[in-house]
Amino acid sequence: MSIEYRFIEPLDVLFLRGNKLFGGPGSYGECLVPPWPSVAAGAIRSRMLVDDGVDLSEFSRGHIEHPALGTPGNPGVFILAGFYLAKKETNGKVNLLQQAPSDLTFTSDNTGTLSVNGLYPQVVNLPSSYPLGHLPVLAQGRQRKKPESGYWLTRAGWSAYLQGQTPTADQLVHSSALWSTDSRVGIGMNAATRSVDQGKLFTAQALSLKTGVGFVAAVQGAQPPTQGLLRFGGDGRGAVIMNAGMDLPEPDYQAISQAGRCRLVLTTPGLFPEGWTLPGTGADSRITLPGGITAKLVSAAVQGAEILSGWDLAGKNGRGQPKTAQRVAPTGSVYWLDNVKATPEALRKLAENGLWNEPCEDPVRRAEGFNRCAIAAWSAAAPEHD
Amino acid sequence: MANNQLWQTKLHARLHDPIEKALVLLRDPAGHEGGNSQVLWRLAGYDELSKENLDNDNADVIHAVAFTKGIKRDTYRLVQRADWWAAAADRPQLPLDEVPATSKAGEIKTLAVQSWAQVRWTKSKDGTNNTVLVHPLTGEKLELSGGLSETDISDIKQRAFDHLSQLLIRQDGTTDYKKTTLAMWRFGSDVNEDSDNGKLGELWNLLPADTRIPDHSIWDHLDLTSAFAGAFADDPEGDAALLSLSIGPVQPFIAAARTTSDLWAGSHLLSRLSWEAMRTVCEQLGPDAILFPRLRGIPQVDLWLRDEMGLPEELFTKCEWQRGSTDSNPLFSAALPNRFVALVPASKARAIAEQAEKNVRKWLQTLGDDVITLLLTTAGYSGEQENITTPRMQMKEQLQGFPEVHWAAVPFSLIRRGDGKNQRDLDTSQLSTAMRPFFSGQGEPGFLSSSAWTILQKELALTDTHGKKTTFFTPNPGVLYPAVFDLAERVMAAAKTSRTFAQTKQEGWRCSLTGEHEWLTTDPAQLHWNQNYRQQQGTLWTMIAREKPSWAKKGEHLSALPAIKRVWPTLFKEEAGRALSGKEPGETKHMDRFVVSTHTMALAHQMDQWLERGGLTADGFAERADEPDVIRVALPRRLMRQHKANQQALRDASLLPSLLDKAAQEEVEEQEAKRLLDAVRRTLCQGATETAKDIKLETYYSLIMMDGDHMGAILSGDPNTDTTITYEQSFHPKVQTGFSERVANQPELAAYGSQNRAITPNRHLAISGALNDFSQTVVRHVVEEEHLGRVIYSGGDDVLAMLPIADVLSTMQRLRHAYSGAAPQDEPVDWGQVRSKDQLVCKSGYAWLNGRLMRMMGKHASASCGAVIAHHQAPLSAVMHELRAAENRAKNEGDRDAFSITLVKRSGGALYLTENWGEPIRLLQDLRDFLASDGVSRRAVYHTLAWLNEHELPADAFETDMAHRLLEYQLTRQSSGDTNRQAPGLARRLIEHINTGSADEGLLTLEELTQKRVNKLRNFLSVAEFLARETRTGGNQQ
Repeated sequence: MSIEYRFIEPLDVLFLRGNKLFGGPGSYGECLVPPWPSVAAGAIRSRMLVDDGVDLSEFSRGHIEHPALGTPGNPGVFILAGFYLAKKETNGKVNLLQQAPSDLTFTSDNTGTLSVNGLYPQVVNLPSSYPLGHLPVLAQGRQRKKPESGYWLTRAGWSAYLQGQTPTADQLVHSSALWSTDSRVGIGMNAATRSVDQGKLFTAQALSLKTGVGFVAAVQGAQPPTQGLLRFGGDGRGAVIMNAGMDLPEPDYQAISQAGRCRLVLTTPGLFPEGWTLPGTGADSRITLPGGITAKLVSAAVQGAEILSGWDLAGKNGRGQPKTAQRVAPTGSVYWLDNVKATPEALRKLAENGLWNEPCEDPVRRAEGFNRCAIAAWSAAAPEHD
Repeated sequence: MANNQLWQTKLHARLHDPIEKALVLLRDPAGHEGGNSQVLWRLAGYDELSKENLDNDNADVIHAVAFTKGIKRDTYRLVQRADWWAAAADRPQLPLDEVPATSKAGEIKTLAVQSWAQVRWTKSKDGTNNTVLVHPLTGEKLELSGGLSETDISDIKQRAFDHLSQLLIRQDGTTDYKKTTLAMWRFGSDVNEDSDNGKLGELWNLLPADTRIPDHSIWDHLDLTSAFAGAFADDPEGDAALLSLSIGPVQPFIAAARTTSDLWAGSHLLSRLSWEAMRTVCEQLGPDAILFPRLRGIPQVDLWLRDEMGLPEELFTKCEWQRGSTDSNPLFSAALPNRFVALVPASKARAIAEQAEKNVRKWLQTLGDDVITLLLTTAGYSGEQENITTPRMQMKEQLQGFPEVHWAAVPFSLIRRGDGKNQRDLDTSQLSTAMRPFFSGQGEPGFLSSSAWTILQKELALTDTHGKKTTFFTPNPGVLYPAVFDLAERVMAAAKTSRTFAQTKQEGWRCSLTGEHEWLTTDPAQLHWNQNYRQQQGTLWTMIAREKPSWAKKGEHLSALPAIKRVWPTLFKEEAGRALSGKEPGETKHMDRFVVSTHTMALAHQMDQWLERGGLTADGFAERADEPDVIRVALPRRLMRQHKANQQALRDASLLPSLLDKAAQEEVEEQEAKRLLDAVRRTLCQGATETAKDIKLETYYSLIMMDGDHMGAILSGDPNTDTTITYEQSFHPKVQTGFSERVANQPELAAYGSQNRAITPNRHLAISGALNDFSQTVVRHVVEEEHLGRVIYSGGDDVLAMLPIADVLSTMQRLRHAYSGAAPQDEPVDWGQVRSKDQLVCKSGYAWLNGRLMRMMGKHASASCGAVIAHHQAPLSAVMHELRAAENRAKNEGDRDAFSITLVKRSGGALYLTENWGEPIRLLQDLRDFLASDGVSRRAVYHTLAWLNEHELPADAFETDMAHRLLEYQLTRQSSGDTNRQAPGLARRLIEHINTGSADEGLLTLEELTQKRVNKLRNFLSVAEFLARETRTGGNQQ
């Protein structure tokens, strides 16, 4: 099924809150960047419902089934197949920006020159707490340097990464060039009277994206709006939605299939039954992925759990309630797979459809855009560098 | 080997070198026939041991008493090897010259340390003071004022015997090897004499292991020898490994905080978890097995020694933690970092690390269960707890996998020894192979390609241009400690790349603080109740909020870890009370814990000035203060100490913030709130001059966060940090002189001397010891004794403290000076005079306080500090977020060795100022004081800001002196009297500072440069004006 790409450009600061409860007196709402893909899925779906004249309250209670969106508890064919930070250039072309995968490290020397280095799994015969057979090793000079964070890959950098190359410094953008945050003081409202609740001051972090910076949403199974406005994130701040002619970089699936080894990179958070490890992983690290792909998981770089929750509109008889909170592996987590048995087409399908089986284990989260991944070549050895 | 054998071996290791050895080596006939002979004895390999049991060294009485039946030959060999490795790991070598000697066979050539390489640690006849210590991070020399006399030296042996003999623990005529080892480790370096200990007192714990290289102490050498010996003894193959272990995550755990008490609890609990992990190693191998951090003197470790290891109570009577019944007691300090490095038996490294993980998690699970019991009891579920299983299950599930434990171990067996007997002829091929993947570039990896190793790796026999022969010892594996350490760190960093986790499902509304887990409940159905319904129906937490407001605010519902953090202060207070109680079972000493609120801190400076004026109250204060809902609050320690003679006023002071809090309550009517505020304001005006009676109450306070710069690089000996010294710099001045002359004809030797010293275990111990003393002693003194602040946590190089605004600049600068042990104002102070001072003296990399000489980090180690000035009602999480950002700015924008201030205005908006230490902070203080002075109007700043922009000023305003003249005019015009004369100088300094730019300014156009300068000056003036404003509210009341 074809994928429709849309660019979402904010018209205002955004409130992209994480999982923390928020709004109580003295509370502080921190911003989550990038936001969950479900923020984009929710914004686009709401707009589609409005465009189709659907009563939102009735829909949220599950009383109306939309042809593409289904119901909140039983989604239709609409799937958010990708969600990226992106920048619209002055010529109107939209370039995606990919959060740096966990196997890349960034360091600067005394002159401020940035270096990008990759982790390379190795069998290391020294005892350690590492749970898998190959240790992701970073080769550095005699003096170890403190890694820096906040870098994003440009399209060229992402393309190089997928091909198994280490992106260069000019293929990176630092987050400070993409957005800034500031604090906004708000006051709590009484839900019943819609009046101000005395003394309920709270502070929230607002995200201010730089000019031209926005998001790209990839939608599968439905036609999202091509123009107009969206209510995006907390407080329903305004954003423009528009067509985005995209051409996503791809790895050489044929070469990967022949090499029998690859890296699997999460491009949205991964919600897996066993926590950090990929679905279908057995006790011996043998793994069966959707599409009948088999492999052995030999190494991984996963920077701890994030908590995924949200608001269940249909829950509690349509009155809404918090969704069950679960742990997810963060975007950018990298899994090294060896002894991969897969056709190039199976690998491509995995990247297109994400880490979901059929029938789907969790159609709601799939529709919201979770468990999306990319396949990247795994270079045989660390390049020599100083 | 039986466990008792382990402790025998360790005790033998601790006693193998008498403490005074280095000092008496060249003069004591009872030793090994002088310094040279011992070196030659070892070099010649005269260590054939024929008997099963060896006689004691009768020169050492302590040793003879401890080992009445002599030493087993195997034990001797283990200790001998440990001693060799420890010495090689820690000390640079000195060349041995070929000299003629007479033997039974007649004239022979032998090798000897030359006279220039021998140091008698006294004042010599020509007046040269040889009593010198070398700072291991800077090479600075600390000369003991007056030096030691021959009499002092001869006295040391007796003192050492008197002191150490008290630490021998015997039962039924038999030495308790374990207890004695532990007692020697803990108290050997602690002089415990009632009488003055002469000039040696302050030096006792710094006594050098080798007077020629006095940059590490005999205690450090004994610790390391014991650590190696223990690891050898407990391994079937006699092999040791270096184990690096860390727990986490640190930042999210501490950051989940709503109050300053939460911040304290998070850091204190994390420190405790670190100890519970370290305890596994300590119990199996002794605390000296941990090379980093240094555990000696840490109160929690003392409690373990006393209560669990059974050391006699009387040994601890003079410990500082035995005194004080408040939370200023050192037990309440978060003293330990979240990681450690230990020497362990190679075959047991994995088992020890896994046991440490198991133990720390088990300890937390037990604590969690206790917390549930306490919560249920407090909420009134006393008799029915066994039926309430839900919160216990939630606690257990939420704590699973916490803390994360990452570790790696590297065995020394990677270094093969061709000559096993003498531990020489090293083969590093396996070590090199293991290191290879972790290093970029070609050739041998890491330390193995260093110049130092190139010189040291093989026996070096050099002949100078005059035919004179010189030899270095061939190295043993101890020399390769830097390579093993580096590899262990790199493997652990790689092991941390996957922070694994299991899946969980958390239903309904979640924890108020973290939003991650279910709040603890007695009934899972309640998790789906919204906030209002919970308040109506009542839950465990609504009952807790009612019964124990310090555990939960109204509306708060907490999950496992936040609940533990809330209850931890109560539990630990009880634990500390039990620890400090008498001997009767169940007896508990009452401990007071004072949480100074942000509101109290905001008012602290004004209260201090009011107390200085006598602390009289205004009409209407007494009747309002007597209301039952007005409770006493904790005050800053300095306030309590300074004004302890006026107890009534202190009592009134402790009610002032409470009156203000009451005025802010929704239930209090507006008119009554105004009356309360007025009563407080008029009280604080009592005794002030007429002009100062229209004061506003201070509502802003500050938080500072300080952090050592490049700490990882300093630990790993990165020369870019300027904290590594050359081999030659580590020598005693006399040896340095002799060495320079000696190497004049031998370039290889000269090259060796100019090499940076490889990292050593004692470098780590020195850093850890310096950070312990800084964080546990000096920080608290600076913040709470010299200023009106409150330490929230201080561990290692991290400091978080709360201060009134008036104290923020001086505290930051003082802490920065103390961190390096170098304050400009203390430079002229003679060390001989410091004993008469009861204040902190920071000089030459050391700090002197209350009779203790403490090594600090030295002048080349720097620290950066973030500060936030915020309204006392601003959400703490938002303030902490700004604080971390400010610290980051100091590190990045300020390029470290800098401070950054964020001023968050209640009305919205913020000011940011990032500057380096030194002149900028002096200038900021001077400008603030100027603006706060009588006769100066702050319009000087307002008027300046009106024209200080790129539209009003020509592009070359800073080049042509225009900006300077305009600024001088404004400062002069708005000041009068004495302050008026300061205006021109201040204006000049300000413009000079603003014109001093960074290197990248050369790339800017003139317009861009002017704009940058305009912004910088505007920020500087605005921050100074704000600080003057807030200070002034108190300053003008005198």
